[in-house]
Amino acid sequence: MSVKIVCMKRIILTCICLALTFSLSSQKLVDLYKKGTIRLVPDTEYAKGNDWNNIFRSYWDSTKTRHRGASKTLVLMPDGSVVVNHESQNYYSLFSPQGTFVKEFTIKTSKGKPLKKSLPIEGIINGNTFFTGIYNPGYVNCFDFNGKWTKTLKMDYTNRQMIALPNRKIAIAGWSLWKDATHEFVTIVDYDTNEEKIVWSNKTQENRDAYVGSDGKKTTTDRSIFNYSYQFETSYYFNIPSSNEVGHIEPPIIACSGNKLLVALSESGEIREYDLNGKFLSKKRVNWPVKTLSVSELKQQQQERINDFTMERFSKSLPTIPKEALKKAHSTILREMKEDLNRIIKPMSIPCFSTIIKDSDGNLLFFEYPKEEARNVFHVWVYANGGSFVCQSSFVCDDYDLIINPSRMVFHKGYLYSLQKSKQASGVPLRLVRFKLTAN
Amino acid sequence: MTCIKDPILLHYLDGELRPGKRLRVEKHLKECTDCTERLELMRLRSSRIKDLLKDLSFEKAVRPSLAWLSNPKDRLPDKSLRTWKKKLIYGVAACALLLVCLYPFRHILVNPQHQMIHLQAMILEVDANRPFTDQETVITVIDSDGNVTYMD
Repeated sequence: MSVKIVCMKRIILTCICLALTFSLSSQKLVDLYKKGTIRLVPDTEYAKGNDWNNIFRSYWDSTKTRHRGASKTLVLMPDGSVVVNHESQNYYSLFSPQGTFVKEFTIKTSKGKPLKKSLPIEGIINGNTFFTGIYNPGYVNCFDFNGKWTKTLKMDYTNRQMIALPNRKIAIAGWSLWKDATHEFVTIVDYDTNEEKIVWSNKTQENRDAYVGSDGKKTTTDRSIFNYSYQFETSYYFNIPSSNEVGHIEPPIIACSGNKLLVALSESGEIREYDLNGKFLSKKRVNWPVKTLSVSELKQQQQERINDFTMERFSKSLPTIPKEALKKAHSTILREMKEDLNRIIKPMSIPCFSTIIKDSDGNLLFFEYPKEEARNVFHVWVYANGGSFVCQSSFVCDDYDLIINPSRMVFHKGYLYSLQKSKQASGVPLRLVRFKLTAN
Repeated sequence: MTCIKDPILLHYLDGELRPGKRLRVEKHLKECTDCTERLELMRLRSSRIKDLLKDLSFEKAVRPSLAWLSNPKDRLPDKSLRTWKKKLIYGVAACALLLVCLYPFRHILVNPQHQMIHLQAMILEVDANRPFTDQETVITVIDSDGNVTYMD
């Protein structure tokens, strides 16, 4: 009897200690954020001795249209091991919990043959299964930590973001094309049954407002402002994409906090809460002010864009098109760009946040779009403590050029595991690095 | 004495006069040098014309192609023209039939680049360290088979 009581006491004591540890740990990161600037200090012992030029040898790879090699992301395994995805390659790189390169592996079919084509791993479900992004025409490959294929989930859309939920389900921020619009939506997919439930959806709207042309006449157009495209006779289609195109709908960002799925809408600043089965619970809004780009700022940007759009640069980007056709296209696009200067009549609001990163204490860090590049300043919205805005903070790092994105920055046990470009590296600059967070 | 008129001389020359009239013409021609000279002139002209007609009757007729093109009224149907028309009609019909047969397989036969059904500019990977307007964007191209490709 006394032995049982002692055991019970030990268990209770352990639980209290664990609760205290978690509580203190949670406090620690929030306290750090409250101090303002956080310095990211690389752990020099982590990933030491790796031959980065060989491990990331595909870094310089490019296709005819894109430099794809630099697009690498990471996934953290429960034991702290790291898997690095290489876009457009069919293998993954595995690193030990100390960051030492272990091996490259591929997904193997039930017959043991490697898959020729596979997408980056998006997450881990059930604590033991990787799942990839949605591969056309809609397959998600699932495989164990040895690369052995276990099952394929089927969807009929493409993913922007996928996260594992603790109830054997996967939340997906996806998009698909309909005849007249692009649909953005969030679904919850059951890993076991492949059943889907649409949680939230929206469709894009194109802006076809009338505007006053350079001749002073009111004109209507089918062309969205800041969107320039040209169809060459040779069936080659040219388009200048722009993130500040009016009508451009920011896709939803999803995150899991405790037993809730959050759908964050960056344009309105709305955060919608659902349970893990997709039942709507509540919604709230971020409480920092929405920033805008003024008319003069937009006009200045547009003027810079016009200045940059020289015939020389244009012809370099389309070497196969005959010169006469290029001249015609260049003058058409340039005319449209100048027309758009007159179409800028109202300020443009900037989405409230760009991305969300969950730290190892369960806090959600909401990052706003900065005014200048590499400003390293962001808002911290601590959702775990009731979802209220806590402070504004920033990351500073001396040795690396920070790219702040959840697919490149993952928290684990108070550390920040990241794929970043070293400022002083020779050869391939990309590094797998573990940062310790310290107050500046 | 009244001279013989030209039409009667022409009939005489062609042997078309009745015997009584022919005798009267011959009697007059012996006494009138003017009419004799006119008759000889007519005979000479007639002979030339006959020679010319003789040559034409043995020569193979050749019609320059440009001539009837410039003057459609002069166009005459001949065997070669009918063949050319037939060939054209049969050719057009064959092409139309081929197109109809290949229509169900159009998405396989046509280069997928020509089958772009949608383009969308999107931010590929958000970087919270870059302004909204400086984010790296790509064009998403989706072909008729639903394949997604990205272009800078």
